[in-house]
Amino acid sequence: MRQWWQQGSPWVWFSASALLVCLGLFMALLGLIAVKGMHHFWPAPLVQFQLTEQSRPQLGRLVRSVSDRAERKDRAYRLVDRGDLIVDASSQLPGRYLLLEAHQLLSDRPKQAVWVQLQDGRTFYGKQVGQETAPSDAGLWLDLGMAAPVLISAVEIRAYWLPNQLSFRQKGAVFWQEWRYFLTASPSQNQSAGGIFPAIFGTLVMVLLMAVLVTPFGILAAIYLHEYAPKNWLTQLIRTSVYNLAGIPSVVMGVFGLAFFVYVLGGSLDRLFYADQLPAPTFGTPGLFWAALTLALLTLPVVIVATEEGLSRLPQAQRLASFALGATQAETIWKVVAPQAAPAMLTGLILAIARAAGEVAPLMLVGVVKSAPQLPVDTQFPFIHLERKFMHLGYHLYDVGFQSPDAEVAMSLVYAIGLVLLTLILLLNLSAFFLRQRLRRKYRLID
Amino acid sequence: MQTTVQTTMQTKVAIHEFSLWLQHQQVLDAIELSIPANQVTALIGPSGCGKSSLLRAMNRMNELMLDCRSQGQVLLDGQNIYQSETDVARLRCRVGMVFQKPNPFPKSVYDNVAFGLRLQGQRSRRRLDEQVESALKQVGLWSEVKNRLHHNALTLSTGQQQRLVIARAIALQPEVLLLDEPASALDPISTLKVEELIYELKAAYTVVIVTHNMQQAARISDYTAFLNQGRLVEWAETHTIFTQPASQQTEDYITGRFG
Repeated sequence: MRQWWQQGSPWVWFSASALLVCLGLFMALLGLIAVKGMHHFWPAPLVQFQLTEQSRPQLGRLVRSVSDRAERKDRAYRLVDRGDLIVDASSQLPGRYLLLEAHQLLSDRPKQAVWVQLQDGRTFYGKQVGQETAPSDAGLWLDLGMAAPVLISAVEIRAYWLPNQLSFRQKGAVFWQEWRYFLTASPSQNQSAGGIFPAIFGTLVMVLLMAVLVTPFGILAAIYLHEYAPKNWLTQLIRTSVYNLAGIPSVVMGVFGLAFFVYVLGGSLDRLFYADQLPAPTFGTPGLFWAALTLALLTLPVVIVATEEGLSRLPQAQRLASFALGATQAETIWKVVAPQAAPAMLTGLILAIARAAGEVAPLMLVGVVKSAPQLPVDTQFPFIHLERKFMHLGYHLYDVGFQSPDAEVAMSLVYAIGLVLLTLILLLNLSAFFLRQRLRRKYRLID
Repeated sequence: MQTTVQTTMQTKVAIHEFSLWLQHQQVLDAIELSIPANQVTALIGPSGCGKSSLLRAMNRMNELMLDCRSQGQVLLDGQNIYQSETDVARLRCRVGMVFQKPNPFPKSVYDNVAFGLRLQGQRSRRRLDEQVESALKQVGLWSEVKNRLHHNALTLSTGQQQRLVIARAIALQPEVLLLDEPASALDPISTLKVEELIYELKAAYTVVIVTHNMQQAARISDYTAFLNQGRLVEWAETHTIFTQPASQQTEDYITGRFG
């Protein structure tokens, strides 16, 4: 025991368990988001319920079981989604989600239960009572628990299936189909239905634009600081300040972006080039370009720090070799130093992208909106519309989760959006990572 | 003795009253030395005696260090290279340098040798091919690498890498070649190859070599200069230095009594 202690073994265990705890938490986070996010697209069974003994049986989607801790443990509730209701005098209870007690649920899971979503994003659960095949008004007759069945026209229907009849494999097919729809469609029904394509696209375009803006500035600044600047207290002061810039709260950057980029720069641009459209602003209003610029400013220190570290890791012998062959300092930097520091520059870019893609607070001030009518890139000249407002996954997540009137709709959707955002950042990072590995192999220094 | 040397030999580099300070520390004190053309001159002396600084003074590499100040003249073919109008990049093409540890660029063998040539504006593929081949042949590396010219130079052995960086330096056809302990990081066989190479190189170039190894200096150099504490103690034909040194310090050093 004494020996075990003296050899420092406790430290091994101590540090290993710290790592284990970190990894565990991390896996828990990823697992929760992945499972809940995936669950959103898995067809849930439809159940039949009765609000009172006298009322008509209705159909609903079983969301989950809820146990009320405050009351007796055995009193379990089921949360049921009734879908978007067609307002009718006979539907007494408002609200889409109901908490039902066990006796209100009917044991029967009707095979004819239909899940149907319309093009506009409304969802209905009902019992199929007939099919209209006449070409003029083909559609489904559904019993929605109201006095009379409702005909839902085929042209209005985006998708429908009978979840209680689906085999596991068929459910899988529905799952993938719904994922694809989610990733490629625009939101509808006040963000609670439809897809998130504009948000994905907006995030990507904004992050790429940010990368294009921050990379040259950051790299050039780092090269000046490390290769050209005299090594004195002023350079050291500037370096320390740049490093500390990384600690500025992002929302403060957003305020700066709004005050300086949008109103000062954008306002001047408007007066100079778009005077005929004033007072309606063109660039003097939050938009894609200002958001990308604000995030570029936010991530600039990250790129500078990473590049400088790469530059200082490069052996001095490489620079001397180049000078001894008659290279000037500029030639040395461009032909010897910069290529070998490229992996470090890419590391900086990876970190910048990871930071920027997840940033929401400053964007709310400088260009992100709840719902943008147009994408920032389209087929109209000049193709990239830098002045347009855009949607962003992070903001969309916040909006759906915390600004939506219906918390229950939002819940599983929030996980799904979170999963997409995580995957997007992962993909961005992975591509930069592989690029960096390729460069590393190319410039691998033996010994 | 020394006067006969200077009259029969043409002087390539003449160092005149040269003093050097690095970070306010004097490392060279009024050095007076002539480097004869097409001969191998060895600079020997204990660690920190300033022999490497003296070597770097001949292509102004000291200026890349922090806080460097010099005084006096270094004449290359009678021209003071410390004049303000000297083109330093051009000077370093005329005075090539090889370092203690092989430092090839992490590029292909070919690109390493062609690096200096390309900087000089050589764009013709055919001319580059010829010059690269000729440089590699001069260092005896051609037969070893001709089938992997486009492999990364870092895959070569240390000895090959050192010969490669010598080839990289002589591809520019310098007039003077400065070697800073070129064999100290190599194994005995590679060392032997590099020594033979240096011996051959003196036909075309003026070679100045810094070495810690007395036997090496005796084997390959024609002239030897002994430095101690920033001063030039003795300079003569190698044979003379090793058999009848004029100064007691030199004798103590080469017989291993100090340093």
